[in-house]
Parts: sequence; C-alpha cells; structure tokens
Amino acid sequence: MYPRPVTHIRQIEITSRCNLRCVYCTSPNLGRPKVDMTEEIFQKVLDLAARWMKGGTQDRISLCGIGEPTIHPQFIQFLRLAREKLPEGILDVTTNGVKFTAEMARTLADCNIFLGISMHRPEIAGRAAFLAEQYGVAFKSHCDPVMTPTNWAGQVEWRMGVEKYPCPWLRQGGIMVMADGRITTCCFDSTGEGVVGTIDDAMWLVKPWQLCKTCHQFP
Amino acid sequence: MDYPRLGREIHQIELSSDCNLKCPYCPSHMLGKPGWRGRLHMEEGIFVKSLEKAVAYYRAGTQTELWLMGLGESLLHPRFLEYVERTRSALPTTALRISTNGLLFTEEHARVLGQNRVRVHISPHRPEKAEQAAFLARKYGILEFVGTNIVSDPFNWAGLVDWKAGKPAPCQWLQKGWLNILSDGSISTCCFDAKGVGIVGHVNEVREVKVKPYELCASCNLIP
Repeated sequence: MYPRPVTHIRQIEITSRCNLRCVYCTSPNLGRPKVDMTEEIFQKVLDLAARWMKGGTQDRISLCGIGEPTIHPQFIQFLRLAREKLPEGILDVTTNGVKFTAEMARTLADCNIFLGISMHRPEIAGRAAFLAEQYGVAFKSHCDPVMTPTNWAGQVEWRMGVEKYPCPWLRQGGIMVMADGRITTCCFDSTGEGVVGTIDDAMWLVKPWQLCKTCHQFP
Repeated sequence: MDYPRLGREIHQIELSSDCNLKCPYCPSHMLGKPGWRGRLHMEEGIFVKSLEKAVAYYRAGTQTELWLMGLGESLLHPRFLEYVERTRSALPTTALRISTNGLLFTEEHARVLGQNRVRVHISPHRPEKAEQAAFLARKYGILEFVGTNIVSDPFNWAGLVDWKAGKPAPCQWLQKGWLNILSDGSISTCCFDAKGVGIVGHVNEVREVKVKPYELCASCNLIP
C-alpha cells in the first residue's frame, strides 16, 4: 500500500504562528519555524491544487494548519487569490476569532469560503460568529477539545477521546503544505519530521512515519 | 395567553448565585453589585422549603423536571452533593438536571450524580477545564449536552448583557408556569432575573404563586 503518490493538498498552512497558547494544542511548543507563508509559495501551492482539481483528484482545500490564519498580514488577499485560482474548489478556513474582522467576513462571503470557528474562548468566538452571520458567511462553531478530544498522536497532554479510524491522509494521498513551503504527510506534524519534500519538487510519495505509531488514525 | 397563570413547577432551584467565572455574556458577574441580586449559597432552611414546594407540585402531578442551578455555579455550594441526594429522595421520578462550567467537577460528583440519575449539561466556557468534566460525565453515563449555544444559539439575557439577542421563541417559563427559586428563597417567574425584579413569592409563604409577564419581558426574545 505504501509509499503512495500524493493526489491532493488537504491543507495550506498559511501561517504557523498563533495568537493563543492552548494547552491541548501543539502550537505553543511548535518544533518548527513559526512563519507566515510567502505569496510566492502560496501561488505555487494554488497552481498545484488547481492542476489536481482539473485532473479530478482534488475538490476541496483548507487554508489553515497549525497556526491562526487570520494573523497572516495578507490573509484577505490570500482568500481572494485562492478563490481566483480555484473557482470551483470547496474552500474553508478555521479561526479562533481573536483577530476576525468585518472585512474578513465580507471577503469570506464574497469568495464563498466556509468558516470554522473554534471555541477556545467563547467570548471571542461568539463575536466572530456574529460577524460571520451578519455578512452571510457559511460557518460552524465547534469545541473539538471537549467534544472530540485528541492528544495529537501523543504530542500534547490531553485525552484521547475518539475511536481509531483509518488515516484519510495516508490512504488517499493527501498532504499539508507547511508555512515554509515544505510538504508533510500529516496534519499533526508539529516538528516537520513527516516532511516528504518541498513545493518546488516534482512529485512526492507518502508513507507512515513515526507519529503514526501513537496516532488514533491508522495507516 | 391569559395571565396571571398558576405556577405549576419549580423548574430551577438556584443552589448558589455565586460563580467562579466572569463571562461577559452572562450577568452572573454583576451579582453583588448595586441594583443586582446578591451572591450567596442557598441556606439549608431555604433549601428544605424549596424542596417542599417542588414536592407539592410533584404530588399535584405537575412537577416533571427540576434543574439544581440558577445564575451561579451550583458546584460552589459546599453541600452540593448532599442537596442532590436529598432532592432525589424527595422527588424520586422527577427528571433532575444540572448545568456546570466543569471547573470543580470531580469523579465524586460524577459518581453521586450518576447514582441519583441527574443529567449533566456542560458549558465549555473554558474548554481546557470542561473536557475533564465532559469525560467524567460520559464515563458515568450522565452527560446530556455540551453546550456551545452561547455562540451557535446566542441570547443577551433580555438585554442585561452586551451580546447578540436571541431569536424570538415562546417563553416556556410563563406559558408552562415554571418557577425559579433564587438562592435567597424568593421565587421568580424567570431564569433571566438577575436583578430580582420578577419576584412573585417566597418559599416561606404558603400562598399559591402565579406568574405573569414582568418588566424584563419587554426586552426579551422570549414571547410571553
């Protein structure tokens, strides 16, 4: 079964920085650079996703990784770029709401990009939800650390509250492009040890890596 | 609907009006300030009288559900578990529920609540604390709901807090004759009554209690 060729991009981590320090997340102790994705890398990633969408192996993409996308200084521009290059794609982004603005809400609505709102701080997430509703953004709020808790394959001290299930990333050949342009096979990759190449390579293969041993998603 | 209507159920007994959080979307943190109700734990005498009221409705066949909560965090009450057991003894077939922020929730709480068939709602105002409570409540089979409604289905407590107003809906409190016994023993017609202006009686009184719209109804999303 492995290694398998990559067929689609599941997530584009437009920034690996975050403005919260949640105890149940790997972000505070991220073992790789905390950087914003450059426009050059973002364009390359979108070009690749566009090819795969045209080829029929990709239909959706998330514009976030381990980081808070709204603090990227070009966040709004990136939303528009993503919609421009992926006119038929199902796009989504998730925020904690701290820096969420009316302009972001307006852009998400214009670009028909779905918004996830993480309830790390309900008093903040609520304000974001109200803005989203006001501007007609399709959105859903959630509190995963309580409802479906995970320990990020053992990387954080938190409960494993979900059943084991097959890893859709490995089985379907999905990747995350990290903020620095490297490509990893796994959304839990907080160290960069699951890297299989960079956006400048011609092809990538995915296979189980060390974190799979402690993960609830099995290869 | 015609008012006043007879009260038919003690829907809430506010074991404590104190809280260990200060959420901006809740009027709880205003309690104790001028113009607002006090912050206090319910005294035993008031609790006994409250149960007697509920038992009277139970015998009349109109008491079907009781929440041991109000504007505060019930687990702050030093005799919380004892009061839970006494409530279950007094009301053997009434649906009992609590809602908690989970900060103080322990395995002992889950065990005793489970033994007494009390269903638990958890409000994850602080997810890093609430998860443990949700886990324990699940473990003992008493978790009914993890509420994210302050974001997904918000309300502003009839204008008492600066938050998004709720969608119009019928007021079950008034329409069903539900009563809220506050921590000082006064009886209100309303769960939003953070100022104690909807008082229609006291547990020490023997007269029948009637409910009707009051001043907060004018700014409330719930329709009498």
